[in-house]
Amino acid sequence: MSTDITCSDARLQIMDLVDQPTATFDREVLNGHLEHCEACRTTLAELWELQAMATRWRDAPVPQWTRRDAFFERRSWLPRLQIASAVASVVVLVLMLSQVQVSTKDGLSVSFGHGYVGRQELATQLRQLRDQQQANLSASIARLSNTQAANNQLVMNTLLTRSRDERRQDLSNLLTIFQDSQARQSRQTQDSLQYLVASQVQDRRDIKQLDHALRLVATKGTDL
Amino acid sequence: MFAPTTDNELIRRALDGSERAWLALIQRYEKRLYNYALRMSGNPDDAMDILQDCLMSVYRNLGSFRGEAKFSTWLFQIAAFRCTDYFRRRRREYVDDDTDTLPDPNAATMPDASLDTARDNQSISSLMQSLSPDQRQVIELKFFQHFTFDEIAGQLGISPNTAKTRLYAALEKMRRVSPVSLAAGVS
Repeated sequence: MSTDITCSDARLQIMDLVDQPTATFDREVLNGHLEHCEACRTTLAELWELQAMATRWRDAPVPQWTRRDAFFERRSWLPRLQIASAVASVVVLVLMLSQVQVSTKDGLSVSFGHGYVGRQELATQLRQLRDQQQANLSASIARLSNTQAANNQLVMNTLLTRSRDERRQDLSNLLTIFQDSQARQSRQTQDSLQYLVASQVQDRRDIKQLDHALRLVATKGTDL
Repeated sequence: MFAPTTDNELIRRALDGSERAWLALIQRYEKRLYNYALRMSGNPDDAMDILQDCLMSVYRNLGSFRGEAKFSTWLFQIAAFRCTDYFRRRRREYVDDDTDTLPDPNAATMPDASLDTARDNQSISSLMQSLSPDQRQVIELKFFQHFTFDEIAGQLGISPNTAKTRLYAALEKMRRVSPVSLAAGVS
């Protein structure tokens, strides 16, 4: 009676062997098949090798990533701020309605809702304020006008003074030019007269020489 | 003195609104999940997307966890669904013969890893990427997450025998793609 199994069955048992080394199938039957079936022996060897190969894998580290951001939304402070703002508003409203007043020894006094003024009194205060404001405005305008007039006068005086000084300077310059011109003409006249006198002296000297020469010629002619 | 808090306790507190409990719970599993996703996708960026997608799904459905199974089983069941979605979205068909162009899964995440470790991870990742997504999931759940075939079947919604058949098909594929790897180890 043959106890051999097909390769297909043997492969399934080989897989079970890898899965659970203490598998409950008949190992002798499988071993008998493996003894004469090289293909199934190879399959078994390769499975063991595959198992050994897996142990050689070294786990790579996980790259950095922001786990919290990937799953959870960031908490915002805005809703809490809005709630705080609403609570503060309610508290202030209650204080005002209760007309609470807080004073310290230093003189600081904070009051909520106090100091109600009637319509008539408010109108009077407003009128007084308006009159006061009008008076202040008029006084300011008057002060401004006086200042403006004084400034205008100052500007006028400055302009006149400057104009007078400029005219005086012009006359002085003109006089200087005239005097220079007169001096120059006087010198030229003096030079001309001196030249004329010198010419006359020279002329007289020439006439005397000529006269002397004529007399000399006349004397020689008589001797001949 | 301070006994470690159980998953169920953290889940209960998280459901009560404790952010700290939820963060502690995900930090307990995120490395295992990330490496699962890294082996499945072969790409650190995609692995991070799958991890976050998976954890977000767990967060939304935490109330439906009844504690009948282990939390890790439930978690990896969701991870398997998310990976299936990922492969469906990417419409990335596995390639039979072009494993050299696969990105290095350690390039961005293990700069200080030793060369041997990096080479092992790269080889394993390349081998995984040569498989179809279905085969990859069975290998992952069987050899890296150490689930039984019954548990794998429950997670993937298939029969235990189908899971075994997928594993055998994966072996045949690996043998075709990289016979040296399985004969003498991946390194």
